Amino acid sequence: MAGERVVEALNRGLHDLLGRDPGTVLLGEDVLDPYGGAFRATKGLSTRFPDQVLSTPISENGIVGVANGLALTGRRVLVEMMFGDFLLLAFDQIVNFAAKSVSMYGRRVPLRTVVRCPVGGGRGYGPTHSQNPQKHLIGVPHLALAEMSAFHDPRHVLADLLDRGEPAVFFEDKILYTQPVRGEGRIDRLWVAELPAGPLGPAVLTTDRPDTLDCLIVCPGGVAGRAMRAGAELLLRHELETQIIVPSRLWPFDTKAVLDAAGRAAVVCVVEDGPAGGGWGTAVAHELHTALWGQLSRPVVTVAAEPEVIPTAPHLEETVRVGPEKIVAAVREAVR
Amino acid sequence: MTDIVVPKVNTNDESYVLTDWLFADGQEVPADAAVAVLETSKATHELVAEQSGVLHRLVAENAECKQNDVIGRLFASAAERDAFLATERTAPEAAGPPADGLITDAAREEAGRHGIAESELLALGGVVRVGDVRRLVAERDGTADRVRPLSRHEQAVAAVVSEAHATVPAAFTAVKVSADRLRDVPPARPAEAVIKAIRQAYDEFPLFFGRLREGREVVLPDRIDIGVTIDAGHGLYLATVPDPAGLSLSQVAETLDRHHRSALTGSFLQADLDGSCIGLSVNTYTDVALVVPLIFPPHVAMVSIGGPQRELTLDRDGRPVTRTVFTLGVAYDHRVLGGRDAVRFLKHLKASVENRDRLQQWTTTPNAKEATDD
Repeated sequence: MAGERVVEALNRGLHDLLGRDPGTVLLGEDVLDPYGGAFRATKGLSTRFPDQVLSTPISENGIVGVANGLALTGRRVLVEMMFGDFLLLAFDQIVNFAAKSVSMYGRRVPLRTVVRCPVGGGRGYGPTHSQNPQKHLIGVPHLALAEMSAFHDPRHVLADLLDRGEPAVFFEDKILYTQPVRGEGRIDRLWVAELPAGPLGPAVLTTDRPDTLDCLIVCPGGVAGRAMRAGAELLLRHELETQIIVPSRLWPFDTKAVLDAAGRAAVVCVVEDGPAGGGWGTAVAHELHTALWGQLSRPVVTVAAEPEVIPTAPHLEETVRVGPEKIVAAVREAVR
Repeated sequence: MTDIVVPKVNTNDESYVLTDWLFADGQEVPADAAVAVLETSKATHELVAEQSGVLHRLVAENAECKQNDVIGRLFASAAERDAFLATERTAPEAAGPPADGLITDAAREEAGRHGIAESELLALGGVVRVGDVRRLVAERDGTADRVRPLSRHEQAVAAVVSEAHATVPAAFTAVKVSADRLRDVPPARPAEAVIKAIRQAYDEFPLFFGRLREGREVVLPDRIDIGVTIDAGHGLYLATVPDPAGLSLSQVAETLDRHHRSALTGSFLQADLDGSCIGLSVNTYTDVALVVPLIFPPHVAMVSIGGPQRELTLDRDGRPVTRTVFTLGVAYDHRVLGGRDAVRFLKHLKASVENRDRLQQWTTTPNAKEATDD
């Protein structure tokens, strides 16, 4: 839809999901109208589907516990965390209950809980409301992780996560909410987006020379805007041709989708906005090293946030978050 | 005429979205009326007109705007608005045509060197890169259909040899070496034996392996890795044989063969090309009499071997016999090394390569102790 913002696309997607199946429920703090959720993602839902939207007390483990109980009875359940930082409060219900229930009872039990959570900094919300906690959930058996992007329609991504029969966490970088939906096609004067593998596959961002490739950046949706600015600088300042791949599904990660470009690029750079160490970026880098050993001309470069608590003051926050300059510096160091 | 300016609504958002205009374009807006709605990430905010006027919108609904952006104007009358519109076009709402107007720094610099105006670059359309400027220059001077651009790798090689030519005052000496003994040891080629011989010469001739620092001192290497020239038709590479002291002749041969395969497929790893402290230029084609190599900075010496040549010589009894020889040369940085050093160094290499026992010893993998004694 022309001029649509990401939060509106998300809201439209939630409307669709509650509308297509009266058994689908949505739980979360302050999700009822007129407030409609801290970021307005659930606006209008409780008015249109009063029996499917449940406002909860402030108790994340309790919220996900109720969600999992509903899911065990066969319902599809969407949970909204007010901030992704609070996922850690629900860690036990996600890891020990939701993910394990799928395979723990001697027969396969489909469990359709999807936890949505706003993540990331750039808003001055401080140390415990700005984190990217994705890495804490990587590699949990039967738990899928996906991240919102301006290129993927949240309706398709959330429907897929809800229908898999296994629990999932959907990360929503809060900077994206107010940004325009990009979808496929021309984004700005430099970048064009495509979804060559369909609405669930990775978005591929190219410039006017898609065949020449000095640098491949692989990053989740929340970092894509910064990666595009980095790519523009790499081209205009340093004449390095960049392609960006933005997977919707973070885990399990489909390495095949990036192998061709990664094998052709002089530098492969994986970017995430959480602190380095045991993170998504290193996991993806390892997959690429394994698949392309002997073909890569240098190690995969990983870029992550500084290993620090995220400050509240905006100018200090920028010293910790991943910015375009950090990506540019890492790529230039690699090709030097 | 007054501007409608976006105020600071909160401290969190970089930008807001103008969700609604509450008056139509050209409509009279009373003072103190809400004229537009801004949405932040957490709330909506009504923008109030401080004075009355005829509205002219500059920004479309659902567009993003930032603090201090002028999103619209209020004119005293409809006539004033029309007059204003006649002289000034409204800001285009859509981005311009794809990629037009983007010029890389390198392209701008190159255009400046050739006196090409920015407007001519923009006329090319799309992102203008340095290659586009060069093509434009070639079209002008009529060489366009005869230009073969150098690949990035070839340009890098060009930079290295230019640096060598500009900075290293090199001299060259060569000796003739018999290849007859090499027939008895696999792989029966001179390159592997010369690599082993170079490594063996380190203790006696360390300066050949150093690098000159600020014209005052020579820094010796911490690892004695040898760089070997490889060219499989995709440009010249100096590929590294890691310290050959611990390698047999066949292991050196395996390393070289692996490098040749990498050169054919253009798939060298950075580690394959890093860190050598002396070079060997291999040109073992029949009838190549002499090769004078360039020295790759920061090296101070590059050894070269030419192709096999059959020649007549006299044996101990004065009877004519045939033998196979090749030319072994060394280019050396004359700031660090002299002609006498070069001759002694070459004779040392020659003695090893012509020595049956030494060659035999190199056919087996040296153990760690021998390797360090070597």
